[in-house]
Amino acid sequence: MQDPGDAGTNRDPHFVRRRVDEVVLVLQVDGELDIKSTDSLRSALDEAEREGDIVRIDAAGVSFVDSTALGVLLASAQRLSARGGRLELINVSPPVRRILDMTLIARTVHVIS
Amino acid sequence: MAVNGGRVELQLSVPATADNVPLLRHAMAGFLEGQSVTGETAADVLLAVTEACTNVVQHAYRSDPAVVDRHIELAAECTDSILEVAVRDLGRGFAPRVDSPGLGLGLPVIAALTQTVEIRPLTPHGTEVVMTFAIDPG
Repeated sequence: MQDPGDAGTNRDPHFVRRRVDEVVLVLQVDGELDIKSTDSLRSALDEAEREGDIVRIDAAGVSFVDSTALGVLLASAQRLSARGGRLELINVSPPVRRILDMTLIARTVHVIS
Repeated sequence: MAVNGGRVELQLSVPATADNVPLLRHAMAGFLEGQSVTGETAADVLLAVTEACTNVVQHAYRSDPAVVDRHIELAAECTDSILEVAVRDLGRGFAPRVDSPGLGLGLPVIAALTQTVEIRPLTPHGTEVVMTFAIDPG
């Protein structure tokens, strides 16, 4: 029987499970990204895209990016965007930032400072 | 690396393969370090050189499959305030690629990074991309 003192004063927490909001797959990349590493970068992104719609590349260990690598990133970003997701780049070093800014890639790839 | 009349030079010739692009970049990095060229200037040089070498790998020998000797030549010369870098191939011209693997941004990137860039035909065949960079005296 309910204690009369509890009437109207239920302070137990109430949880409502709604949905999983965003699943972000974080891909840590290290090294130099150029024509030699294009295939392996593409493979890593293909695999990441199969696992989620938002792929976040942690580029802290990336020391070099050229336009061939940007082409692979851009293609991935476009595929993710087409299905409502996105490609993000975080922890970008100054030399890498230079080519990103120069090529206006931030219009398609989300570069997060 | 050679020292020639007070100028410091780098000369390399390697097969025009994707694997050799980072090799050339690293050789150039070593050369720059020896000339005390660092920071943003060095990064610009390395990116421009990589783009030029990548162009050779992707385009220079495609229209001439019979060519056996497919090389990239990298030459660099450093004077007081100017670094001059040349990337050469011996291909027989460049046919347009409808299946271009990249963004087609190689030359625009090079132009943005260099003080000057010239593209010259070589005799009897081949192409030379000559880039200059302003450097602080080391």
